[in-house]
Amino acid sequence: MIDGQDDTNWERLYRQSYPSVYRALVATLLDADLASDSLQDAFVAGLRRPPTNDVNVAGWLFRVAVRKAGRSRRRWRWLPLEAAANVTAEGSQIEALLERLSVGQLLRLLTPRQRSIVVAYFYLDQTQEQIAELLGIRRGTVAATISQALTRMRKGEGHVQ
Amino acid sequence: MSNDLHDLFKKELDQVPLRPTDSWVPRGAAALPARAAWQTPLALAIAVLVLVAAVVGGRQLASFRDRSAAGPGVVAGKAIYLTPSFNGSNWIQIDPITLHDMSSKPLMDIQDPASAANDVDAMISTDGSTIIVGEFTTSGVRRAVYDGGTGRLRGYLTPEVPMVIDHLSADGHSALGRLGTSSDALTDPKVIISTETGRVLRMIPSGPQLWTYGVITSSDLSAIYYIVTAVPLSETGLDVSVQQPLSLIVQSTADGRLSAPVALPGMSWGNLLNASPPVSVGTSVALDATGRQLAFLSYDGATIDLVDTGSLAVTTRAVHRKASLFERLGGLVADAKEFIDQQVIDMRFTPDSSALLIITTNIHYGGESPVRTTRDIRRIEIASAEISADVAPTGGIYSTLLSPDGTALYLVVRSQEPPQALYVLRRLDARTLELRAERPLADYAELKLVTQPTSR
Repeated sequence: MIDGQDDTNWERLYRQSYPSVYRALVATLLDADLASDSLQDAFVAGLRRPPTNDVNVAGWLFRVAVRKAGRSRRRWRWLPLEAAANVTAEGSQIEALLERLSVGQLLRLLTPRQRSIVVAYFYLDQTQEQIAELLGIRRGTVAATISQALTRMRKGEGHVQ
Repeated sequence: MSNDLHDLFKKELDQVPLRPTDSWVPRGAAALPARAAWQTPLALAIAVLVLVAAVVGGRQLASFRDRSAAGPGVVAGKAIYLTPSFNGSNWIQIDPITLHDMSSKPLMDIQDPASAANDVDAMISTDGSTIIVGEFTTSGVRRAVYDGGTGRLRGYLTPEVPMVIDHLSADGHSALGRLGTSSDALTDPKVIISTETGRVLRMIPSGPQLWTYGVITSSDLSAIYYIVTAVPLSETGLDVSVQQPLSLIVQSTADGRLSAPVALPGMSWGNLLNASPPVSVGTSVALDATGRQLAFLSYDGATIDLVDTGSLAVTTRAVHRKASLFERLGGLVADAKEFIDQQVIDMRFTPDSSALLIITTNIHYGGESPVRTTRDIRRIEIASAEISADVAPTGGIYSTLLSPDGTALYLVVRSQEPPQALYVLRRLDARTLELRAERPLADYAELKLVTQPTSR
């Protein structure tokens, strides 16, 4: 548990990390509403079972939120069409902005897994070791995934506005 | 992908607006405490820090601008400018010999402090007469057209049809781009418009339906050169685990016709699997000022293909160096001992088409921030394919410009890495690549070339 951990402290840490993690999630999930919801889920998860000592809070929130988003997406696949009404205007505007940014266009060339690793690396400034630890994979796999993603982005770069 | 990805990700993703802070935590998830005591002092501290930084930075910039130097400041009818800001404003003319500041005119009109743009980019015609500054906002793009000699605003460019502007003609009178605002393929249909009226001058049908490595356009926009693989676009992916041979296909913008593919011996695109991790490598391409000659350089720097754009005849030459030169480098791609994430190769013809200048920069990710190093700068004589000069300067190169008379190569170099990053401007002799002049810069700046300033 983080030193002096309590709900207040957890919320403080969460709020400190929120801007960067939220933006990272928007870029990874390409869905602003899902990013917001899954990050809130990660906050609740932290309240229920706080992360361990010396935890990398931003990395932890990002990993938990990405996993929760994955579960949500699988669940939502079976929801009726009315669920689309949950999409907020704010979310749509953010996604439109992302579509225009060259980073957003490059990220669309990647698989969801590549996107999450690339965003963690290039935006959240997680080291390859940290990403490997967070995702439970080997550092070499992280390096290879980043390399593959770079290749894919280079290949598609000319197609980006 | 010439930008540092770390910087690009930060710059762009930080534009994603945040939701109201009261929505960051779910309602009812916990009894939320009052605003933490540390937040207000921290916000104040940040505000003070930003203010101090702005004042200090402003003073530095002001003193930077106020410096002046005697001299015409013009070479071959063109003026060299530094753009210390990212928003297209505050251009500073420098003396091409001493590198001293001369004037912040004639481009003051470009400054628009009220701009709400998320991103601004500036396109300059080859003759330096026309500058188009695009301001990108969430509601769209606004393109202002300026006179390169006076900086005076000519008007705003609104294309008659939705398009992405990719190229300006050498004289700045027309622009070529992909049709539609969401076009994302190099081979998509294109359109040429007038930059004065925005009217469509020509529609151009799709390019070759092949996986395309790159596209280059003639300076008069009469031809589009597609550098292609043999893999049809109908195939869902391109196997980059092998080197894909490249060919050239030319499309006339007059009638849209495509030439037959012209093989480019020695040119390829793909991954180098023996690097760790595998590095994507490709071919460098340059078109000379006359538009009559295209040059292609293989990723290993060993082969040049020269293509006569009139006859499409290809001449292949093996690059070699003078026997007396110290043989210290292999190909362009780094030795295995050097870990690189990305390699950027900038290749251009000298104005007289007699030589190629090749600047190879490596980008290393993985540390606190990306580090750019310069692998080398080479000059290759076209007639002999001989490397006549080869230097490996310190520092990473961030902006380059070749003087219009071909005598000087200007570089913006980061001489010290963050957190106290320092930048310098250097002038090299373009023939020997020896350092001739250097000056510090107050901050990162880019080099631009416009027509000789005239009175406003």
